[in-house]
Amino acid sequence: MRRTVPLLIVAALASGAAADDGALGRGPTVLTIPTAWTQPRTSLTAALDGDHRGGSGARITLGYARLVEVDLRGDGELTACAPCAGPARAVEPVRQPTAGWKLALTPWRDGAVAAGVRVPLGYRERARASEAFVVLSQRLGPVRLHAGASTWASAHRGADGATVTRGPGASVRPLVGLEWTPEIYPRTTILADLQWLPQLGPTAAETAPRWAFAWGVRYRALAWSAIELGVRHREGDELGGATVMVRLSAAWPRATR
Amino acid sequence: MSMNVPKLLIAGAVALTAGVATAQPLPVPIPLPTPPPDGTPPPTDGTPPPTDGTPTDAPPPVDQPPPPVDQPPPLGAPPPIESITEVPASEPPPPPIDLPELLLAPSGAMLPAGVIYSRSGVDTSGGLSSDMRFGLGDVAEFGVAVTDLIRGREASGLTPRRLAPFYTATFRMGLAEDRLFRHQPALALGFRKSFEYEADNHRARIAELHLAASGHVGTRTTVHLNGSFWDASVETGDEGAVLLHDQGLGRQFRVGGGVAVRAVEDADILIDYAWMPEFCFTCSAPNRTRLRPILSWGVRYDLASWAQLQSGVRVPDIGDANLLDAQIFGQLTLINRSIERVVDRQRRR
Repeated sequence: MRRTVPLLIVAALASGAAADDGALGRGPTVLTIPTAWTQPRTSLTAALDGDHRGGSGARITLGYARLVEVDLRGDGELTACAPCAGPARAVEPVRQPTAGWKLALTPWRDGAVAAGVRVPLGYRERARASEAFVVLSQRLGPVRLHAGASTWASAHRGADGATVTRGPGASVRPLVGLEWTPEIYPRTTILADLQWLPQLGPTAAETAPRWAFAWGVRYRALAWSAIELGVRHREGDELGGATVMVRLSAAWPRATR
Repeated sequence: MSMNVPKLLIAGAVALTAGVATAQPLPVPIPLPTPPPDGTPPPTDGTPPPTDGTPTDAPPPVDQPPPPVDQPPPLGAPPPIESITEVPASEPPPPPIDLPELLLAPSGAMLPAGVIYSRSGVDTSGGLSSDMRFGLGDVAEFGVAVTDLIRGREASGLTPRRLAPFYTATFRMGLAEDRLFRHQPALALGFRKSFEYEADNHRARIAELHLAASGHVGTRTTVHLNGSFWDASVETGDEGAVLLHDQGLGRQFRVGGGVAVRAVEDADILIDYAWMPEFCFTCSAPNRTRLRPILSWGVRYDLASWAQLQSGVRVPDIGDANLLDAQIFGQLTLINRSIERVVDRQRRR
């Protein structure tokens, strides 16, 4: 039994790539964390998502020069809590449109390293947050591993009306992700990622990054489209507080199979 | 049975090849010109020379009918060459242009004569910018621009807001790389002056004199360095203008620069460091105008020989390292070389 598990892992890693990557196979995110991939040619990717709590989001990504991805996004990834602890704890998403920019390099085979920022669009006095990240992605046969770090800066209006700000120096946290495309299901990818996201509280002491873990499945039904189903858990939520989400993605130009 | 299949295939292929060969027209022998015994050169029109010793310039016999004019050439003969026209050699594509600015910092490169350059941009804070320049005689350029990078605040501690549109005019003159001696960097001396900006009872103007140098290091990297000397004037209401040059040279002179690395065959990674004035309209005179450092990084992608797409990130006041102030920008650069081509053609004539 001791030898079986390593052998299975080695066999899985050595079994080779599963399917053509395409724009959706080398997507800009695992489920919620950024990857270090960029597209091998100029391409446009669009995604629409929703969850069982009525939340929704949209994202459009332009990849060009094999180095850069620029995106526009609107979602409820940022959250605010009031109160932030106790049985009456209440957490709500803070919708903010953002733009992201990522520069990626591929210094070695099947691997990439990327750095990027995500900033709010326009000026929002009530609540805004910016993110900077570094991520490294490596493909090992049917498995793609992602690891890096991110930091956030935020500013929002506190309970007393004063602006609560949090600088990027105090919020550096790791992010990790996994994509596994089994050889027997070459169009299906199992996804999991973990990162820390800021939660805006009524005071500076209650404003802090909280972990968020997401897992799910991506099914590339067509060469140019995919559907993702996932579940997201946030720090402080009970098991019943998890969010079930669905995302539809499309890419242009489409991948060749 | 299985052994016969290859043989049949080979026989079929041989028969097919033989059939195709026999269907071709027979080659027509072309007699080689032989020099006559009297030493006259052979005719050059393709007619065989006489073999009986008659001179070649003798007139044809009168009783023979003239050859038909529009008779098709015999099979296998090369088609007649009716006329030879000189095909002009295609013009080699003009060399790529070194642009007069990185992302924000000026470079030492000048626009070639007759080249029109324009750059338009948008950023996530809602700013719009545009820059148009014209190359004069390979040694100078003139341009007008509208920038969204100059900011002002009512009082110290308040959030600065963008002063836009802020119009400027630029004149630069310079020298191309390696022109005076080997390894001489490209040099440019530029002057930029703004039109007066007026809003909310405030008036502001800026002026900048810069000396920029750019040099290639290896085949993929270009290094840029500049020193800029700033002046500014701020007026609020009826009070007199507060001038930056009254605050001493140390508050006027700044050093900037950047690096461009060709990461792939059609894209550069750029990093630059530049300075921009920021106004505080009700602060004390020494703090009325401050020069703020801006760090930018991004990628310039050659869409075509006449178009480039740039995007990147800039932090308007890198001294504060405030991630919330970071902006993502996109820019489109267009280069028109029509006038340059027309002038080149006229010169050749």
